[in-house]
Amino acid sequence: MGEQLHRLLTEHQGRFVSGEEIAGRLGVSRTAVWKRVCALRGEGYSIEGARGAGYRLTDRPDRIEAEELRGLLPPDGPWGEIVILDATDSTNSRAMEMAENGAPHGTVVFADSQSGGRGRLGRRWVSPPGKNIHVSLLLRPAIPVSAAPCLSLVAGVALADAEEGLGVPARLKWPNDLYLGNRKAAGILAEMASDPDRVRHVTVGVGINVNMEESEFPAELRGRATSLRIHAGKTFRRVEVLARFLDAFGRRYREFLAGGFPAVRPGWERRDFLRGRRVLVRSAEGSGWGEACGVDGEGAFLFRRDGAAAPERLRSGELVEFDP
Amino acid sequence: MNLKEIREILELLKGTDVCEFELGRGDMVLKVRRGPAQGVPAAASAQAAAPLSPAGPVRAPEEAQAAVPPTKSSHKEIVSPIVGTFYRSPAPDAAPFVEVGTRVVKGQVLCIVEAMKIMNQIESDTTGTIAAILVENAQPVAYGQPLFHILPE
Repeated sequence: MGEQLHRLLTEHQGRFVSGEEIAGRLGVSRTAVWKRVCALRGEGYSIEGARGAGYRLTDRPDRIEAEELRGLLPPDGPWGEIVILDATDSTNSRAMEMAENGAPHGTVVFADSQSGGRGRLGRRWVSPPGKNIHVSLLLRPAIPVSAAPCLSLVAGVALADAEEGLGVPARLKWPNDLYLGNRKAAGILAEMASDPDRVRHVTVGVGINVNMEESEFPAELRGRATSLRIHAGKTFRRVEVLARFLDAFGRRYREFLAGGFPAVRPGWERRDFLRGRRVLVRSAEGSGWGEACGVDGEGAFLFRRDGAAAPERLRSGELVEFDP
Repeated sequence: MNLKEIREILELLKGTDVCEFELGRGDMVLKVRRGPAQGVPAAASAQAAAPLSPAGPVRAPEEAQAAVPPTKSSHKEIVSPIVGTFYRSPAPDAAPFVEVGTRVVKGQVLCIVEAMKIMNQIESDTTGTIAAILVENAQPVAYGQPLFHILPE
């Protein structure tokens, strides 16, 4: 109902349109026009009304519409259906369900707010509505199961590409946390279902803090987490951030399928946040301090434990702390 | 694992009644099977009734029964498709996906093996009962390392 009015006001690009003209174009009474203006305001649009001049759109909520997003993506990318949800517990859970029900490769699931966002091992990811990006990408790659974990790093590289395209240089902490300065701004959690010999589907879930403000972080994350807005000092349109990420992911994914992780590795290495620094690692093999020595051609983290002559290769584990 | 360690392990196994041994460390798995080639399958297929093959030379029947699960050959083995960390539950405070004795259906998630923040849900390819869980929670697993034994229905 508000859509026609929205389109009309958008067409006029911030100039006033008289109530009479709107009523005529929409074929409704002026009272009905006023009701629709109120409804749009309720959705977060700022509409100025002036006696004698009419109405004009001054600001709109930072919403993501599938149509607009699709228009920003190159036609040769892997992306298919774009599902936009107002709220969900977890975009990864939704995408996994859709995958089990046969959803095709390239399905994108975005949610405006997420109540049960998960980090690794069920850790919570905090996010208010309208501020951040929570998106899951459904992939059905024809690769061996043992190669699939690299997708986690491929996604991190794409994320850094996207931020760089927005003028915000980012760095990566193995395997795929995105850092702006010394604070984390985005995280990735991927889930895979596989048969013994093949990948059935991989869901790459990404959370990006876009327009979140310092005061919106819970106390325990303040000073450790950040957003594009806090870091760059300006707001970003989420649809643009998401489009850049999807575009970058499409390219990096193609590189990965053609050349394996070595094809993507330079993009990871030049943003390596910890290389050469002392880090505390917690892994199933044991915890300890040592030196971060980069990644190898299979995406494993190279870590030289204190006292050891050569680095070991970690595929799993957590970089708990690091020297500044 | 170097040659010296492998030699030590073989040395250790001598004089025990262990006829199958498996050790995973990092990227590699050492599998040792001892005794006459036909010994183990024969014992296993005979199941509980006659666990010791005629060729089994040194052990008393009671000992052999303890060392070899009698239904071994009818078990299906679920192995890890990747190098990673084995998790028995979806989150640290959640209940395990399965326990020994749990009946599972084909396609049911048994555990997660995590590598590089990809949580790989390992599903059962069989309908049956969990006979053994071979790895402890939060331990590293190697490629191809057995994780579960399932007794098919």
